[in-house]
Amino acid sequence: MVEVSGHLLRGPVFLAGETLQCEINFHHPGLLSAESGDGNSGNKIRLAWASVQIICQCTVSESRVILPRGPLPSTVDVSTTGCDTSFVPNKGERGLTVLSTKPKILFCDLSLQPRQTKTFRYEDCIPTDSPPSYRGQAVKYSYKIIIGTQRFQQPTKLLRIPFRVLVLYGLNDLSVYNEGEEVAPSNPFLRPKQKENAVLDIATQVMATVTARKSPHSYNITNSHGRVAKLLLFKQAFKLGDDIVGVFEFKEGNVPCVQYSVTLQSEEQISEECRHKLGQGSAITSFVKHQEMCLHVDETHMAIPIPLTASPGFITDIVCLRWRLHFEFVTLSDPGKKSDVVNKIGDDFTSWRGPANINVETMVWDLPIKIFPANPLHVSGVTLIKSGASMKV
Amino acid sequence: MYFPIGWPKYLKIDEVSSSPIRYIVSSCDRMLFAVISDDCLSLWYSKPCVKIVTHSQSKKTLAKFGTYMAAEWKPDSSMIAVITSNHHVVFYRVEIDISVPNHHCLYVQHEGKTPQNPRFNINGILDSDSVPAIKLIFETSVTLTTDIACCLCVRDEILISTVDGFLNRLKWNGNKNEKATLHLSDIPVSVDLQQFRASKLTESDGHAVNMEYSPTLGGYSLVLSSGKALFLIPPSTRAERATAHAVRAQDLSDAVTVAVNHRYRLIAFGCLTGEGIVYTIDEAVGALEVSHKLIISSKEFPDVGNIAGSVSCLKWTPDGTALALTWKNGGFSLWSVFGALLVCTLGGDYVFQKDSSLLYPYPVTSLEWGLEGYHLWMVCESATDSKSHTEDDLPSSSIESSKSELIQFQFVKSALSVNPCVGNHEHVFLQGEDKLYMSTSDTVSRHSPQPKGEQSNIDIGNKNWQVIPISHNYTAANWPIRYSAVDRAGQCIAVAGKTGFAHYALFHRKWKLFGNETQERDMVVSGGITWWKDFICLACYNIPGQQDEIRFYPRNCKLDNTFAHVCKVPSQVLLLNTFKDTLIIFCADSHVMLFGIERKNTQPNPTVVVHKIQEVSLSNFIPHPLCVAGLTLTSLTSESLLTKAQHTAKEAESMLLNVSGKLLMFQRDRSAQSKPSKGDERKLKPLPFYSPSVVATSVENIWATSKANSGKVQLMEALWLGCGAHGMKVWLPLYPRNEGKAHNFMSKRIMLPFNVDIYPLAVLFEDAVILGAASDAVFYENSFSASPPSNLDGGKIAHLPFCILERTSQIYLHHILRQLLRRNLGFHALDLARCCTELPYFPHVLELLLHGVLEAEATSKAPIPDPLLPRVVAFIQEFPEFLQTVVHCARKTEVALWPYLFSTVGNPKDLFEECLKVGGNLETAASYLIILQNLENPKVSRQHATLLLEASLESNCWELCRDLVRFLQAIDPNDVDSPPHGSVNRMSGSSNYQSIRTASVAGDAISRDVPKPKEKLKQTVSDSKVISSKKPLQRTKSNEASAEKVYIDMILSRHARKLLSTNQIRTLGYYSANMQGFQLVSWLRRERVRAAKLEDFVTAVRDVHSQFDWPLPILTYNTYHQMKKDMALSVSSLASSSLLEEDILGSPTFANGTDSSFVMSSLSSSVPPPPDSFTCMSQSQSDDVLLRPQLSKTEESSLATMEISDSSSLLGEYELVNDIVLGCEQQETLDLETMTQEAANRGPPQSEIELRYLLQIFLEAGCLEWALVIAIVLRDTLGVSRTVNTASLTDTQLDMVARMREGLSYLELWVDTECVGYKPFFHSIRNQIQVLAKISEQTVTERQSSISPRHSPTYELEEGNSSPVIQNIRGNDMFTENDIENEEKQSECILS
Repeated sequence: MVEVSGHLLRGPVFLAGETLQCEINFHHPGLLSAESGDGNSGNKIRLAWASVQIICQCTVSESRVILPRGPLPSTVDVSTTGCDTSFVPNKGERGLTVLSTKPKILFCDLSLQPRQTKTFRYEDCIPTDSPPSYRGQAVKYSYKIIIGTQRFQQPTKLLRIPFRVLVLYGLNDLSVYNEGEEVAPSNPFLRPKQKENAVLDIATQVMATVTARKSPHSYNITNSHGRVAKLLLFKQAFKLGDDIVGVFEFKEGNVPCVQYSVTLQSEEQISEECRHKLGQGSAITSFVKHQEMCLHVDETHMAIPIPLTASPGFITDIVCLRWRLHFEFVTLSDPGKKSDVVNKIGDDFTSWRGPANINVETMVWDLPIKIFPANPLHVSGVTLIKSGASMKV
Repeated sequence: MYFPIGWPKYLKIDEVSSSPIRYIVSSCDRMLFAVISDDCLSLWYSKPCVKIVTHSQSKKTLAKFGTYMAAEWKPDSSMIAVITSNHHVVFYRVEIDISVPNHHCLYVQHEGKTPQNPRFNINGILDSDSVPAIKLIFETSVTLTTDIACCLCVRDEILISTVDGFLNRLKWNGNKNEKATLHLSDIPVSVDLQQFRASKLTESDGHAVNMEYSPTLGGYSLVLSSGKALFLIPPSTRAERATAHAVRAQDLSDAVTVAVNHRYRLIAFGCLTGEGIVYTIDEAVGALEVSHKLIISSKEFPDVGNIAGSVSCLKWTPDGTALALTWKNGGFSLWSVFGALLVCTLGGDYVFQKDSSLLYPYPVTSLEWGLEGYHLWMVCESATDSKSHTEDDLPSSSIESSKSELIQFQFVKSALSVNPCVGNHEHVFLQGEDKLYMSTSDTVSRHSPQPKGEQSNIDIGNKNWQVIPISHNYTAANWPIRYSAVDRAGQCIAVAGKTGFAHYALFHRKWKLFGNETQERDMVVSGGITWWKDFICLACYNIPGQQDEIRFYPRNCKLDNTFAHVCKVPSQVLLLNTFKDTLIIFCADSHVMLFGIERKNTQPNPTVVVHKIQEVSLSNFIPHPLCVAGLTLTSLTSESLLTKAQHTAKEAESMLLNVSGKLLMFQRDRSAQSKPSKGDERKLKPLPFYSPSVVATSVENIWATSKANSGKVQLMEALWLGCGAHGMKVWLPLYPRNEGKAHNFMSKRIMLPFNVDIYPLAVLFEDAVILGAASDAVFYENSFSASPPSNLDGGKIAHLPFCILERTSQIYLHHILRQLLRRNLGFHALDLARCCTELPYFPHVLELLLHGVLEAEATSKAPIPDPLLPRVVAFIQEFPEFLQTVVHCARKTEVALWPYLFSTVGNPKDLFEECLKVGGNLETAASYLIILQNLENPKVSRQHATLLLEASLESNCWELCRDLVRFLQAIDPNDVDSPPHGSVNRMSGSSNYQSIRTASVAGDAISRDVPKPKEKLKQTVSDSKVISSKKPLQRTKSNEASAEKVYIDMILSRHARKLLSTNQIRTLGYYSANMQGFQLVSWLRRERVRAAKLEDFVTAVRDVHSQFDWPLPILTYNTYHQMKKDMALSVSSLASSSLLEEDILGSPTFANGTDSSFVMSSLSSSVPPPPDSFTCMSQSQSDDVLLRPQLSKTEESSLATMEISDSSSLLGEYELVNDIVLGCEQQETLDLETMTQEAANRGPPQSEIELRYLLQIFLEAGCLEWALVIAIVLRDTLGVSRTVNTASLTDTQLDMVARMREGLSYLELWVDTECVGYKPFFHSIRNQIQVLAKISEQTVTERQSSISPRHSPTYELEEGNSSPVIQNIRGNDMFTENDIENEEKQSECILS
């Protein structure tokens, strides 16, 4: 028996365009032949080969999505054929393989002595045009590193290490971002030190720039009766993990607002050619909700954290994910009418008491926002995908 | 701990009354807030935050009662007493307005036609969204004789202080309790209770202006109008005293306000100076002792007293763990219970950019904490009037004129503050009103399987929070969250609110709530919640059962009571904690109970079995059950009690109890145990505890771990204490050096205090890091140009600082090490440090240690009798990071302190040399250089720089070299003492290399510096070079700057020469590219006939191959056959092609005869060399011969024929022209195949680019030998021909061509014998070889006379390539060739 274990050195989250590094160990746990007594378990084990590649599976809900009969080959046939001894990375996976990198062979004919461990390092770049990891209602994109290996005269075994991919659009041509820097020297000995992670550095900069705080945007929220509130938003584009901070002003309004809520929602829209039904709407998922009673509030604020586990907005051939803030304002439907109770108590006192019943109406408003990925190092701090996996061959 | 977050919320102030708000006070359960303005009293509900009722006075009553000033609630919230300016106390009854429908709830929302009924209330607990309808009824009013100063509700009575010094007592029905009324002047006041020299207060002491009562202290704390403060013990509490007695707070004469902490039994006074002083009561004598002071250091904000003014309000949080303090002119601060400053809005990030004189928040007149401390209600003056503080008005008058605002600050607090259980101690885990904040760092590094390295480093630096919104479904009915707990892995979270609880798993990202809402409403978590394995363990009150219980709910099952294990307890649980499989609870009857927990894997759901182990009454040690702030079981033992821990597995050896900040340790008494080994016996008879010992005081938090790590026993066995203003303390175990000889006098534990810059919330034992949180502020407004903050039209709060929460971390190891060293416990310090060396920040620890001690001792005015620095230095010397630590520390301290440092550490020169000696420490050495530069004269630093430059050149540290060159150039030559000038002069005086060398050495013989001679040596070398090439040195001699440059150039070119002469051309490439100002081409041109001279081509080719990772070519079977075929043809084809070549080149053929004759003659003189070359070849890699057998004799002959043909072609065999065509074609196809073959075994592309670049450079510089070598390595036919062309066309030195020719022939031999893979290539360039031969021959003839026979360049030419003429000298030639043959035949045999 050989224990195969893979471990992602930097954690399980990557940006498309980054190079992923995986350490793969092959360990022979058996006892040395002298210790074990019987000759069998102490023998060395030979593995015929091991190969690694990255795949991205796209699974769709059949009831909502019709996949285009296009160049994407269905893998159902592949996965069910009985080729036990060949390396079929997407074997046993459901759905479409939308990305599959060139397999890399770690070794051929490796023999392991008992207690011996061989370590290999697999490195590959995640293409920049890959779809992001996403688990939606109708569509799911999931990434895995597939490590296939085979012992002599035994079927192939696959070890899968799932990981998460964030896509920051506009990273296809990194040279664009290097413009300000000095021109590449002609002397080949002066090659600029290969930065540890140039993609990540640039991506971090890009993300910081696009999500920087610009001039605040204020929204006057009105309904048929008049002005309800003013909302001040400081950004329209956010990174994962950011707080969406906004200020509500009710002071100026003439329509009393009883209560408001803000919900961070994602909208998953299937592209037209893939829709099962023509009029099929989009699927809305709510994430964080902020709710507050604001009848006697002049000014307040909201701070909605964007979960690091969410998928930033993206678009592929099949699906498009957008983000929005869904506002609900519960306002008095008869703002003119005084519903308060003011009592004269004798000659000495007057008493005001809040109304027992209030007639309200609920108004909604959707504000689209943009959500970008965050530094994958920070994101991997909270993802609970394990950055390693192991199996026994 | 508490941290403000976000912006404050501005509440809508009364529309009815426009008078400013005076006071805010909450009911005891903090559900209702009474807001008092001049003429009306309003009640607000806490959540949802709406106004319920406002009761306004008419003008008539206003005239009678005067304006409202302050109010007090009756403890059961059924009445409010308001004091007025016109010495009245007005009583209002607070009642539910039963006339209101909807279960007496207000603000019931009706949308459309279907009214939403409020949710049905279970157990009489209101839904959190419902607002009770409350009415205020005027009950009665009481008139007092004089003006009222303040009032205080004490149980069933109200204490009213009047300006005439009376403390009146009123019953809630309005009756005066005349008997209990006191006058201040009647009370004897002393310093403590023991002294009977008590004095009476006088008229000047005035009346009580502020007072509070504490049941745990058993008395009143009063602030008098004179600024004095008293602690007043009422008569009834102490039986032996018939009258009231008071204790004076010493050294306090400017108090203005007071706040009492019941739990920690502290009395905080706010002073006129803007400071706060916190007193504690000495239990023995009853005196008031200063515990700590609340002072904003001048570092934080200078001159608080003048700018912010006196303290205006003080309020402890509901749980007593933090104190809010505001100043009269604005500003807010928050302090931990023992005085650590958590937040201060004076200065720092809170300063308004537009108007820095404004303080934030604006002057606060009244403060009140909301439920669970999530909100702080504040009554502020409006910003418009905030500048009134410049006028020295009385507070009342300024308020009169101002508008006020009601604002709410929002806070998050550490889960430790109310629920100090194990899991919460291991994470930075904060709870907010509707969110939980979890620090992501520590969790990840824990369960990552990798050994900690760079990864954990990243994580500890990770400042991100993971924000978990609390389920709305749960909080809707159960707001606010009272308790929260996280499990040890940081993956599961449980929260408990008003009723029930909910839990969350980070990996599922889902909340789990009770399926049955009734079950949720039937329990109230009262004593904490914690995780034990995958169970939630909580102490609750079962409402229908009217029973206190401990319950265990499994995480994986549905949240339902059917899966819960319930254990009844006799009294309310106040605290609970776990240690391994033991549950410990502290009950309201002051009993501690221990339970054993056992997990049972019953199907289908796991459950637990709980059995009670022990119950101990602690009532003797605890003044009040409420005072117990923390409870934990640990495996710690203090010295004397255990002989030696035979208990390898950690067991609960002691119980730690935090009683009002005093840490009591109850240790197990194992002495009564007859046989300690028998576990079952122990079960039957629980071990008693010894009576407690006080470990420390002023303790806020305690950290101990039950984890074990044998490598870091000292750290794992330590106990950490957070002590507020006193910093942190660690109770460190000291393990005796050798078990047998433990010193009796040495205590086995030591308490070390140290200061921390952060507020600690979690201690990572193994990583030696403290984690904490801090509050910071950001301005959102600065990005847009809005109106100044005083102009508050819209977006008011957007102009205010936005509070954010930061995660902080701190390493503490250096503090401990320093303390240990100070106590002469160096051995223990070493032990401790050694187990932490693998931490990534360990070097930093050493640096901090050195830095701290240095700063302290070097700056001290008085001489230090026993300096610590030598000890610290000796300590650091134990670690390999010593040199680095010293220099890093030095560079971060002022230059003024360096002499002190180096007087202890040693001469920096020695340290510098040490760095070089150790090797690889060049960066550190470079740091020392900077120190030398500052401490020594420029000459010395230049010497050392030169030394370092050489070393770094040796080790290819180009960046460092570049910096050093810059450094050397930057040394102002005027600063350098005469020696350098002198040396230059001396040098330039003579241009003879030899003589200078001796001269300079002699000149410097006095100074024994090693570097100097070397320097001189270099100087002379490059000097001569410079002279030879440009000879301008004489001119520049006077110009020192250029002399400096020349001097550096000398070093640099010497190194380049060294590289080149040792064939390190790749290094040379990097060197030249990285050294700015080093002109490679021109330098090479100069060195063309010197360093660039290449004698041994074979070695060069080999070196280039290995340097560039360039694979040696492999001869495949195919090419071999091709070649063989080709060889067959070679006779004719070669001949013809060479002929063609010659035709093209148009080189004359006349030289034949002379050539051959010369060759003959020269050969005769140079017979010895060939054997030489043979031996050298056979020495090197005889393995390469392996491939040789495949070359048959025919080839040998073909070689021979080649020679023949070569010559014959010259003789003119024109018949073979036909074959030329054929041969050429074949050759082309062959070339093609060879190329494809080669493409497969090419080296890395980067190498190729570099090689091609170098080829170009060498060609340009005319270093043709090297160009040829590189072209060959690249197998670049074109490159070879270019080289050859250059050789023929330019004025190439003859001996160079000759060397090339010679080298090539050696290479051919090598190829034949050892590296057959090159064969095809050499085949393809043979024309070039011939051309080269021709050139050399030609030139040789030309210069025959000038070349001495000994230095003949042409003999090898004959030998290797066997020039065409050989027919004549065949005999001679054959001799050598036969030798080769013989050898090769032998090997053939072996193989066949």
